[in-house]
Amino acid sequence: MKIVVCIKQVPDTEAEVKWDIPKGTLKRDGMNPITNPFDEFALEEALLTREKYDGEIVAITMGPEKASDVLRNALALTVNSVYRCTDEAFAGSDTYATASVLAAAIKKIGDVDIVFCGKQSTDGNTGVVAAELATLLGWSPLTYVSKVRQIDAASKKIVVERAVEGGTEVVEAKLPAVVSVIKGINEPRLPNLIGIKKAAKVEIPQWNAADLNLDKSKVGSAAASTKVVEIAVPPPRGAGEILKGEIDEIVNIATDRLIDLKVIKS
Amino acid sequence: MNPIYQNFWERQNAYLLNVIYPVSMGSLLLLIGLAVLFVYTFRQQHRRLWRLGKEEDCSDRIPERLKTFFSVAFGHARFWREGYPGMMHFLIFWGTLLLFLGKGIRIFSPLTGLTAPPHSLYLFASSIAEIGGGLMLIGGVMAVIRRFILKPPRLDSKPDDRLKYLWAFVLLLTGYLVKSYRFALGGGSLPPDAFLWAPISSTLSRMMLILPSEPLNELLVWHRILIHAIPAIAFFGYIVMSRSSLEHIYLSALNVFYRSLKPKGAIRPIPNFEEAETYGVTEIKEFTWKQLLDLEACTRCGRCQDNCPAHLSEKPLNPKKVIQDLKAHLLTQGGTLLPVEEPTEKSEPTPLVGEVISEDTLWSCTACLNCYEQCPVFISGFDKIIDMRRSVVLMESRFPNELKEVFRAMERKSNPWGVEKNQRADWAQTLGVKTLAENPDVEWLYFPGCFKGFDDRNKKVAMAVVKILQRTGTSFGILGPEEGCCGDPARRMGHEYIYSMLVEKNIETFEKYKIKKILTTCPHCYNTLKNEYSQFGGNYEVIHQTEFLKSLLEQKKITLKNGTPLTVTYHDSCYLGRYNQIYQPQRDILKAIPGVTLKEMERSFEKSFCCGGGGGRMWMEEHQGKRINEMRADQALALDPNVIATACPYCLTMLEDGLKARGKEESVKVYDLAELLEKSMG
Amino acid sequence: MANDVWVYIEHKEGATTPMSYELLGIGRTLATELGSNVNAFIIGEQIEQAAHEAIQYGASKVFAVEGPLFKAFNGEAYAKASHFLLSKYQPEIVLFRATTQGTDVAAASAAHLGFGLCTDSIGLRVEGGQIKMTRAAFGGNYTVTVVNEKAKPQIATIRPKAFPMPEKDDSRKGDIVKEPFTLGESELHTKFLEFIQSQVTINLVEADIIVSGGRGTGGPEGFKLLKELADLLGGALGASRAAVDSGWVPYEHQVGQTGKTVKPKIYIACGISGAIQHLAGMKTSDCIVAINKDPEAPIFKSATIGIVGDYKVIVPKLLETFKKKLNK
Repeated sequence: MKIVVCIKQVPDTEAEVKWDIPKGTLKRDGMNPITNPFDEFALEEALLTREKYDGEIVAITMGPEKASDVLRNALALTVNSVYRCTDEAFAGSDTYATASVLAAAIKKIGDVDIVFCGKQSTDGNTGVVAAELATLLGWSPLTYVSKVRQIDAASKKIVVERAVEGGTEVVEAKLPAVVSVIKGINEPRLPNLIGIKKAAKVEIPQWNAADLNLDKSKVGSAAASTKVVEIAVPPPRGAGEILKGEIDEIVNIATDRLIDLKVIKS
Repeated sequence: MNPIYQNFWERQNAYLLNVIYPVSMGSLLLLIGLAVLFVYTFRQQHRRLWRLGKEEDCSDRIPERLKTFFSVAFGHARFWREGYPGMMHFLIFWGTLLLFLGKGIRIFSPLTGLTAPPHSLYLFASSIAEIGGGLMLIGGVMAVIRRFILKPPRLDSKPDDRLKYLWAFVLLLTGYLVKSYRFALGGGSLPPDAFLWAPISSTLSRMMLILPSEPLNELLVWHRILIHAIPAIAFFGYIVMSRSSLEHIYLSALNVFYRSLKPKGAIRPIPNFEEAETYGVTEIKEFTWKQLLDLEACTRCGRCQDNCPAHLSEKPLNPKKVIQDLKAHLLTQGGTLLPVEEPTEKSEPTPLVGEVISEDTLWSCTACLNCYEQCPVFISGFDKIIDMRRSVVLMESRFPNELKEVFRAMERKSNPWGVEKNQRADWAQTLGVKTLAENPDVEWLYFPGCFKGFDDRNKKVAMAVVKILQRTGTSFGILGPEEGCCGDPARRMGHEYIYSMLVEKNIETFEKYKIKKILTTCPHCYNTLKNEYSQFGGNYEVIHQTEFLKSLLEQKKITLKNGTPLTVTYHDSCYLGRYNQIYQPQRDILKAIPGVTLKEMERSFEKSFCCGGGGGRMWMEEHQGKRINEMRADQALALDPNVIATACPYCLTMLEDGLKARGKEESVKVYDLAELLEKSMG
Repeated sequence: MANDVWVYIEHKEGATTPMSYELLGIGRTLATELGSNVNAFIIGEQIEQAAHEAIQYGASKVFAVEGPLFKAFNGEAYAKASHFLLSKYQPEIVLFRATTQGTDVAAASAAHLGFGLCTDSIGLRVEGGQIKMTRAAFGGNYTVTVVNEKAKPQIATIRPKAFPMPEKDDSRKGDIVKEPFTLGESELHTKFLEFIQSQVTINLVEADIIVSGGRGTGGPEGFKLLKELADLLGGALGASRAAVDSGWVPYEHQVGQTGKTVKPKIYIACGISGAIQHLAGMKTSDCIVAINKDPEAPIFKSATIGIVGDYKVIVPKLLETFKKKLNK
């Protein structure tokens, strides 16, 4: 079985992210780039799948030189090979352009049975790349997967559970498939030191637009349909307030504020 | 001389020459054979196994080693912490020594003539042998009563334990009997001073008089050979060859001599860490030869298990069992590991963790060092546990699940909870503490540590310390957000990689500000900064706040006002006490505070009971057995104190949790010494 | 026609809730500003009922694709049908709810059409004829406003409850246009097998809302109350180590250093003092509500909303008020 894992490098959003508001870009200094936490579950699921069904894992990412770190981390976790898709033309890609690049890379790898992605990235938070990728490849889209029930390599079938509102959907699909996994599907392992040291020495192979046969006008900011026109900083968090007054009044204020967050579903 | 007694001595001499002398000489020949056997088996059974292990240089500082050796061997330095077993072993040890001394002199007496009876040296030798034998009997009876009647749970008895007592008893008894037979041949007239130089056999000889003299004669010869000399030689052979626990006589002695002289709190670095391809101990031969000697030197006395918080709280870890299991593995596997001429099929080495030592056992250890402290012959359980933890953590990335986020947080945020680095010095803002970046020109670097930086309860302790420092005009500064985790938990959880990264980062910061003197609040920081940073090239004068506060008191820089009466018990931090032998300053500080009555818990000083938070346990679940912190809280509550004083943020947190579990958090408070001191400064 | 606003109507095997129609409200607002209509589109086996309701909630027209293959949700099939409708009618903007279903169809439709989309919007407005969409980024640390210049139709997913519900008007009338679009089962790669109703516990690490209790909860009884609140809000039940240790709740509910690390949008901490071990597991929650008797409890320092008082008094009041305000 040939497995691909798509990994993204993201800034550690638990840390304070600083924007250069006039420029509309992130202030990168002092930022700690990490593997997108959702992708760790994808990587772990790939490792578990390989343990169970044999095969090889290829990890890919799209990003600048620094993004090699997330591939090194994947190598340390014993994936078989890695590729970094990088080209100046890729900069500023939106979700569709990103999916196009990844799809091209997956086609170039060839004979892939299953692609694992994280549900979303913690920087963009869009959560649509997997579905777009599946559509572009014409493969089975399996999103929000909470459990891979079984994979039958011979008949090229996979059965998964998808976590949707109000319950779980059980879906059977043909391989190849693009599977996006949710947090908690597994317990991602950390690489061991031997793996880390070995990975540190590896030269990470790169693919540019030409390698991937991509038209430069169809990727990156050239192709991006959406443009950021405004960045705003929401009122600072953590400056908490202890509500004072009559209990009924307090509860009234608190429930209003929580409902205003638009998180509570009816 | 009275002719009757002359007659006695002539008979004695005749028998000495005709019977004892040939028997002794025969025995001596056998003893030479025994010595050869000893050297051979020592090399085959012991040294060859140790050589499987890695190098470790234990031959430095010989005078110091000899000093410890003699104080442990002859003075029983560590044995006396427990009265009964201490006395028991002391009697047997000294009894044996005296017996052999007397016996040796007497064996050579016919040869030299000088010491032949009734020369006083002979009489002296006779008396010390008899007294020695007597001491052995008393000690032996104590041992038998303890092992077979009192049966303390820490003793497990094997057939060897019955055999060795029985055999030694038979030898002692026959020894006395032979001598008393011989005296009885004199026909009942013993010299009047016989009781002085042969108190036991002279008394026994009275009972022999009922026997006719000819059979006595016969008996004497056969008896000496069959039931005393041969069994004695055989007994020595048994000790040398059978892996009886009596081999501790020489193995434990060697272990004491070769003991580690490094600071107790320091863990050995992984040699050549950058280039190494394996880390820690995965299979038995990755221990050092001295660690393998440790395994062989254990006599199963069980002092370690009686003081191990993990064992006492019913966790799977029992340090004695760890050592014994590893020893059994060494003995069964050792032979197959030895290089052979023609290597047959190569078998996979057995991984220790999972096969010999369970993972639960490995992770139960709180690194309190009580096993090492209590072991009379300096066997450490913890150094083996840390080596095995290193193997599973670094080689396999296998550890309790909850540690994943801790390791990550330490790696990314330089603290175990993953709080943002820039919040580290928030507590200091209201106090106007300057960072070294703001004012590098200070005498002391105050290094509060992660607990004081991020944990609300412990921030109060740091604030108390700072107030004292400010009021006493101490010149100090902090690193603020530049301070990093000292690394102690990572190292004690086996993650040497993260530890070394943290240490290198801190050393870099220290260099940047040319720091020479560091004041710590947390004993964990203290220990690693003082004893372990030097392994990475960081050498500083490191002092713990208790010592510092004590010196401020002595210099009369602190004046204390009258306080309300308080009953206080002090809980020793392992990292200050057993790790660094700091026990007294804490008590001196408490006694200096007006109104304080200090009560000691039963387990205090060297025997202090861990709070349960060390060795990374602070960040692990405690699913099995009782909770160590609650047990410790109970021990403190038994004294009905108003306050439990500590000098460690781990202990503070664990004990407060323990009190909460008992619903006592309102009536009994846990304070750091600095807080108590600061309060009474008024 | 060409600058109409389209709204996707979600259903589960034909069943809808009022929330299925919520986007018709903002859709109408946008359409008014654009000088166009708001239309709904539905893909399903039998859509008649839903189509009528969509009209009652404000849709001018309803476009539909019907067929047995669309009975249960199938991202692949729905996206193909959606693509068919959107490329045929070319509306200005298409709104989907940012649910799993809405996101899947939106993403795949966008990919079929060949461009990107704006996800999880919390603000939509028209300025100079341009639709500006606002969304949160970087874990809620920033909001960004984007415009979509090249794509037509623009596709956006909207965070549920971000905009007010439209009024239902039973007298409204509108057209229902059923489009002939068929798919063979063999053209699909995926097959829906079954739906399993939500298990008792919601995946703690994934939950948007967590109601958590600590030692101050006083016993297992208290957790029943917290569970009730969690269920009402559609959230999960959490607990501090102390509560788990006391045996009041099973270990899988434990939040904190030695339990699970969570990052919900709302974290309600009841009777939790806020020891660092607990904070380590939930400190990045978007909104922390602390309820504790002790005004000195460290949890208040991390709280967005603090309530000093006994949770036994506060939580029943919260239940009552939420029920009233959420019409439950």
